[in-house]
Amino acid sequence: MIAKLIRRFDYFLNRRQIQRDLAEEMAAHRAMMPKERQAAFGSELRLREDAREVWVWTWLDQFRQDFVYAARMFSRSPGFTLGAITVLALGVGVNLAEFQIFDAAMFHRISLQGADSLFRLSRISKVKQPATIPYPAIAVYRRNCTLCSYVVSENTSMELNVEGGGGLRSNFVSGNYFSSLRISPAWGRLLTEDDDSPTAIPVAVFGYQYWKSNWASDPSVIGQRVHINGQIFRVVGVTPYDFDGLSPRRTAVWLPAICRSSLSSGAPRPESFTLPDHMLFAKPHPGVALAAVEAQLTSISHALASMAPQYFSPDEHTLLNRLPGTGIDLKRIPPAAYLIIVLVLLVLLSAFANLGNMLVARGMARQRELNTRIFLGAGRARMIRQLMTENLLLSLLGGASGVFVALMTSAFLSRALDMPPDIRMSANWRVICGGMALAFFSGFAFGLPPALRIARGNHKADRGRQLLVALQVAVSCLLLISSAIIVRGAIRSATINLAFDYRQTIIVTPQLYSEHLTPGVARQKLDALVERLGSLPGVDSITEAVTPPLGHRNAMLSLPGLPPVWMNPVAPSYFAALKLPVLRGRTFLAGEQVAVIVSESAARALWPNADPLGKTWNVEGALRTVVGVVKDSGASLTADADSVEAYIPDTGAWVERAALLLHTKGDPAPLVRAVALASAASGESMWAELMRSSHEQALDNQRKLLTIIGSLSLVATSLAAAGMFALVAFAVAQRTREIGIRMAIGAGPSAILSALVKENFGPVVFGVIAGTAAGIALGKITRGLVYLQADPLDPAAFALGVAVFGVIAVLATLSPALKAMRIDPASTLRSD
Amino acid sequence: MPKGALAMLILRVLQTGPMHGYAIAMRIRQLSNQVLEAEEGSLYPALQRILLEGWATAEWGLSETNRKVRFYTLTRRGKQQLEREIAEYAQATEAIQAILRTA
Repeated sequence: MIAKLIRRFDYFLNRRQIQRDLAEEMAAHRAMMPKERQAAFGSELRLREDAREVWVWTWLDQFRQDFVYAARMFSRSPGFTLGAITVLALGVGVNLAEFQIFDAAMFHRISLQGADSLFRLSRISKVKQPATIPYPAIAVYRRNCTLCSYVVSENTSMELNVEGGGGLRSNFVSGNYFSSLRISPAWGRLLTEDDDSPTAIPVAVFGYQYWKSNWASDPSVIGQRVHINGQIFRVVGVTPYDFDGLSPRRTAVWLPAICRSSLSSGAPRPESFTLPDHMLFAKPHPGVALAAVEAQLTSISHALASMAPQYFSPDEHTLLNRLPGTGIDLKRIPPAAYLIIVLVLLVLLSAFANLGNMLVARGMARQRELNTRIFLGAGRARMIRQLMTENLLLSLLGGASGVFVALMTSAFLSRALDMPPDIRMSANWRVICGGMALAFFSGFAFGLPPALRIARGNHKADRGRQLLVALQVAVSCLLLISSAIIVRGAIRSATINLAFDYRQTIIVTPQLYSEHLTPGVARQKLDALVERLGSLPGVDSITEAVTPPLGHRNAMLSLPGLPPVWMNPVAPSYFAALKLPVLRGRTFLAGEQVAVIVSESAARALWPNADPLGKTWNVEGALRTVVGVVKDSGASLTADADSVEAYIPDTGAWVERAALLLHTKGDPAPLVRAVALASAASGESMWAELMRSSHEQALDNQRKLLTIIGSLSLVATSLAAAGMFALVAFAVAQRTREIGIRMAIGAGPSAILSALVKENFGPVVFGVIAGTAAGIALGKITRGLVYLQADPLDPAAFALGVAVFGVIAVLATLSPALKAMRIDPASTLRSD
Repeated sequence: MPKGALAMLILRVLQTGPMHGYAIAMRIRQLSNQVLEAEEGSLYPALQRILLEGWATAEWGLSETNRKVRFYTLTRRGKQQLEREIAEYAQATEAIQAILRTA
């Protein structure tokens, strides 16, 4: 069987030579025959054809014929071919590229500055070794890896039980972990070197999500003692909401690495080489070759082989692996990501509908040619095969161009999005296979129905085609509307003017709540601190706020019938210090308790047609009187489009939670260091950071999102244009003769135009309505999901989307329509 | 002549030794008492099929009259095939004869 295949293949390769041999052989045979009998040899040509058929599969040969014919047909109508390939390439290519980006950005996300120069260590050896290491080895690596800025460890091997709640994911980290990665706490403090020592009191840090869902976001948990797997730990802080560790997983509880051994059964001593389940991450010094770092790490492993031969071997190598992708931080706006995925799928649907429409139209235009072939004896099956071969060729070309477009698009996007080099897209086999599969699917799904219909000899312009037109129009409209919504929203949010001075402000967190003071004592302490920090050189004003804007905390109230309210207990000096303008009324008086100050949009939402001053509002456990209206700060708008703001005095229990905001005269960066030094000197656990850094991060994320969506709407627009153009161009081409006759019997250009318009008017209008309806439905679903400062039911965006579609439709149909009006009746009637 | 029969005859003729196309045709004609001679050329498609199935190999050589011709040589598989076909043929004829006798 195999041998036969090989012989066939050999024949295929040497077919010309073999044909020559056969001809020669047959000629010799004839020559040897007596003259009078030579006629008995038969037709040499037919015999050679018979001989060839022995070798060649007939179906393969016919396929080749169909293929050549298809190629000839395409080269005869380059306009159609180019259009169809472009549509396929755009649909397939853009989808692949966007999904590549999303795969990279969504599923391997780490919100960490400089994460792209951070590496995970892995070890390979002939003897199978675990990649992870026992606790004492962490210190050995940290001490001896001089080529790295730092080496940190994680251990996610254990699930814990905290106060009876089980199955919580934990992460045991080295003492230098948080300080090296420069993570600031949301509340309290994070783990330090001192916590990771044998004599330390066991402490724990909560993950933000866990703290929020299981501890009701209560900062007073800090300082409390909790039972973790039956042992007592003191909670010292909460991680910021945008950090979950280097391994892609949620972490509920963070513990010092040294606690790993005491929490497992048998409690082996931490200094013994057991439990090899710590993972190492290293950041090499800038400019040091990775190979050099790997060599140094390998030599450390070799040294460890003598100490712990059961875990390390003298022949092993240590490798540095990039972290699994560190992309744009879309984590803060994941619902937007779903919206983009929907949009991307719509582009694909639009491309497919477009292609199906073109194939149907082309089939109708070729009816005459196909009928001739059927008349000449081509079977139905053969006709279908012929048409499907053409679709196959189209898919092949479209898919190949699609992969090309995908690579171009992802290269463009990754440059525009400033992706770290480790998620540079490349032409991997998955992209190529995916692209080809998409293209073949579209060629088959949208090519077969028209092929079947044509082969059956069905001449009527059917409902299917009108449905495809409507679908295409609907999808294009929906895409344009969605793009308009997002682009409008993104532009608006990118241009939000923060009404306060964030550039020269630093946030200092004194963490008084960790000391469990009475409100009076807390007030005294805070006042003393205000006094001390306010006198630092460069500070021109100082104030207090419990949820500093653009910080790591938020406090959102959901009240019935109201947009989300961002609540902030502040000191009376807050508005003056941050230069947030007071529009009406006044700020808090010293010692005032039951007052509230609202932002202008909150005032509009609460009392639409009345003067807010003097109104009372039951909020935060008290009936409060509105004493002032301030400008919208803008800080919460970057996170939620509808949100409004309210301020209450930071009295009573709020005092211990307050952070201090220091406004500086010049560059605030040196002050961050000064505060850190001062707090270290006095033994206090204060934390200082720049307000502007997190804001810049957020703006950057939005710029990236805008790039993705902008490019998507560009593609959607060109697809819509191509679809409309093809539609009318085909109608004109198909009806050239009819138009000619009409003109000959006296129809004017306007009558021709209206006839053309009428044909597609119904489906287009239906499509526009369906697209708008789908947009409204989608908006209803996504409202509140899209943290983009975008209103998914924004009527202006709907109008804009439909208007853009209208302009595109007119522009796209202009040239074929003009062509129709220029048809010369005489020449049309002369031809065929 | 049935389609497979020509191939069987060729294999049978080749059993006596390598032979070129014209000689095969001559031999078949001779052995069949001039009955099987229509379209000598149809020998070649059959020979091509034999080559495809691997029952014989072909090699260029010189004929007795110094012409460049291709000699076909039976392979081991070709011999097996011939035996199988002869056995099947004998079986079939026997069965047919049995029916003819008794009916």
